[in-house]
Amino acid sequence: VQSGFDAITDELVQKSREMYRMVREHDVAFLDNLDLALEYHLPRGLGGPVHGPWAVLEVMDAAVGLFEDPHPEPEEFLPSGDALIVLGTWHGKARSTGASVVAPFAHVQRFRGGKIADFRVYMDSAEILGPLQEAPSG
Amino acid sequence: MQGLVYGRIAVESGFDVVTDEVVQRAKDGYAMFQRHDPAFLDGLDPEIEYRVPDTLPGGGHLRGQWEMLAFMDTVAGLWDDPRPEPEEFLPAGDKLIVLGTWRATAKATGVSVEVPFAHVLQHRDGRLASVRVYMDAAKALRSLEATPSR
Repeated sequence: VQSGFDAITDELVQKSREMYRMVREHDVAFLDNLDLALEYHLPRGLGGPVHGPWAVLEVMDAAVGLFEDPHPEPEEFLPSGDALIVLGTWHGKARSTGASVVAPFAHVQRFRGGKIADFRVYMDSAEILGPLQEAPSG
Repeated sequence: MQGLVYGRIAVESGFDVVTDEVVQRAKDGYAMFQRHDPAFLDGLDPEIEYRVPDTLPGGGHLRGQWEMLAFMDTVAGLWDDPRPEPEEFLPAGDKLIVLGTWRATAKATGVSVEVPFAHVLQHRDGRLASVRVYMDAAKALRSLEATPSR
């Protein structure tokens, strides 16, 4: 209440799980779960930070241009107060080199009125961008 | 109810449930590290697992205090006063997620760098036994090559 963000409930965890599933299935309905004033804190090397759902879509569109089937695979959902921490690995295959990417991430999501209003991404941009320039092994 | 669930997870995982005491111990650990107090070593499990981005020199999945200290020594050789400054401590079952900013100044260029981080800490028998570091290591590495701003 003090922070202005929602306390994380089982319902919000389920909503987050559904969003990852929708992203995996290229279902743009995931945008409905993003607050219009969303702050998306992506490392600068990956195109961030950006504001609002449409900017998120643009970042994802750029990823699709560079990688085949880019998607985050969540492995752990860790609620803590008004923060939902999601640990997982980001997957994709660089179109330029054929190299596969498997990069660990931590996402920290905060909701307002049941929609994600603050999304922080912690990951190494070199692990994502490096394979765009490397020759595929083998 | 959540506590019971977390308790069961902790028993299965072998890690301690995060209590206020564990959070305080973690805060103390960061403070000791920042002032270069070797007493922070007392809070480490001898078999600690320390996972940092592979792209950092000496990084990867490190095991034991020796490998962890060797990595920190490598980092200290590249940057002046490298330090994680914690801002939020988020307990979640048997994990303590710490959000903050890593700060340092590259020795080669004089460029100061700030990189947001998430640390996932796990304790066993009161000692830090597992650390996973999530950060944009590329940003830190760029400071080694950049020209300092005038």
